[in-house]
Amino acid sequence: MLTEIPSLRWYAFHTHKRGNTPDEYEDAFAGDAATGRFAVADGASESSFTAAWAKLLVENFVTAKGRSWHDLDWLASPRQLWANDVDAQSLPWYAEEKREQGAYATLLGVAFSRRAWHALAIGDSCLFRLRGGKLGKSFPLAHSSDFGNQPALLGSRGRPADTPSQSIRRARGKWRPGDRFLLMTDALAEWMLRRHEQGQRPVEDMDRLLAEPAPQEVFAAWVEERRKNQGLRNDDVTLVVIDFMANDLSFRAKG
Amino acid sequence: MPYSAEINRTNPTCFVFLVDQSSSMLKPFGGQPDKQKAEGVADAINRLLQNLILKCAKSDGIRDYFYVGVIGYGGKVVSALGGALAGQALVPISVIANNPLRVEQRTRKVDDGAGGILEQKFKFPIWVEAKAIGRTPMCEALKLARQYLEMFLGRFADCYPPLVINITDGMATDGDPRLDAQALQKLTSSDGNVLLFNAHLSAKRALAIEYPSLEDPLPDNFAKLLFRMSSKLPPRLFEAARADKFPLQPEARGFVFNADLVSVIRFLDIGTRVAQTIR
Repeated sequence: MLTEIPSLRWYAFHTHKRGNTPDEYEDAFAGDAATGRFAVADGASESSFTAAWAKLLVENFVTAKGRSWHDLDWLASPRQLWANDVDAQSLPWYAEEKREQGAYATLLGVAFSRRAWHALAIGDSCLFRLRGGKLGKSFPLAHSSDFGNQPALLGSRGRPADTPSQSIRRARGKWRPGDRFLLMTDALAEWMLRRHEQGQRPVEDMDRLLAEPAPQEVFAAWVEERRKNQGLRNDDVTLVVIDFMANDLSFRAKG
Repeated sequence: MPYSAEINRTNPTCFVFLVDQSSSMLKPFGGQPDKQKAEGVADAINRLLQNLILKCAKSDGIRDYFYVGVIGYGGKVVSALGGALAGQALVPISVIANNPLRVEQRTRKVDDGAGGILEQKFKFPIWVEAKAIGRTPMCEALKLARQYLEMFLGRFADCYPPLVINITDGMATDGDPRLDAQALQKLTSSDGNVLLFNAHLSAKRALAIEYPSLEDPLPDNFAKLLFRMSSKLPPRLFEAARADKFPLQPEARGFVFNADLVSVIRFLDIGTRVAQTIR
């Protein structure tokens, strides 16, 4: 088991949009070091019952049988669970209408196997691969100008028109010991790419954060500082860090 | 950059709707000849309010991103809100949401995803009834909107600039509305000038025109006058409209002819958008 020889370590950080309460956070993340699967999702703020949908998406991506980064058949289960939860509720007219429309979220999932990684993206949550302290691969977006406020989304009602096939993106690559992978929702990813384009070394900035004795405790303040001074857009922020230990070749993941 | 203030519950913005309820509204509507313009106007304002509410609706209730006023002008100029909201000027959007006059059951046709069409029932709340009486004091309505907004801007000086949406068939009877329109557009928050958009419902059976940049293609002088009174779309609204596949030219204005302005609500940024509105 991986847990006995931890060649992979992962951490998650999150904070809510300034001006909202913590329970209004609508991103989600999930990870399982044993299966080597991780995901983040960003619930669309204009939809309702969104946090539950984002959470169902990441959890089901991580636990689904089969290649959840490849086929999307596993979506039937979270869609059913979401509907079971919300369809029984008695609601005012506006909440009823929003429920009918469904909830929407982006999804970024990655699955690691012995030497490779496979990623799935719908929308603008991003994966970055860092090697030797440098920003390598970025997926699915590569430039800060690629972000808008109408990303591709996965809908809880599963209407075919919601997610056209060209908005489902896949990528793959090899990982090496010592690699670090970052999964982020859009505000932080946009900041990362923009700072990188400006030659501002965001990777080092993030390394310093992760080297703190208790990075979780300072994460919200770290984000707020960058909202104030570096144009990090005010939004929910989620970061998942996956580190492959250097000089340890024993990682074996299922899936 | 102006028109970039975040819209949130501590820094909301404001919508004032001006609804022409004068007797000329008894005439049929060019877009749908079996309908009186007054019914077209009532549908338009109710749909605007509904979409504004849905934009703010979350599973736990309505977030007050907007304050809303509805001014009717037909004979006299008064708040067009009724029922529990009768006579009120500006109210938070949650109060509008929870106090329609009634909620109608309507049906719409939707794509069933397999090449067919389904009839789907949906709830259509009514806040403003169809009404057509008296002359058209548009200038006075613009003046009252200005009073509402002076009050609002006194309280929320840093807000995203308020939007005034005027729905009319274009014939003011109390003077040249351009002067009052300009006075309204001179009001500012620290983020920019108040925006005035116009929706012209005409008896003419001319094609709908949305967000034009030039007045030449407009079919009559009333449309041209309303076009001249309309604010240019600020850059972010312009970009959002383009992203929504509206074929806009530079300097596009917040003006539509025989069409509705529901899309404006979709263009406003309060977070990640979902490409849906209620038609």
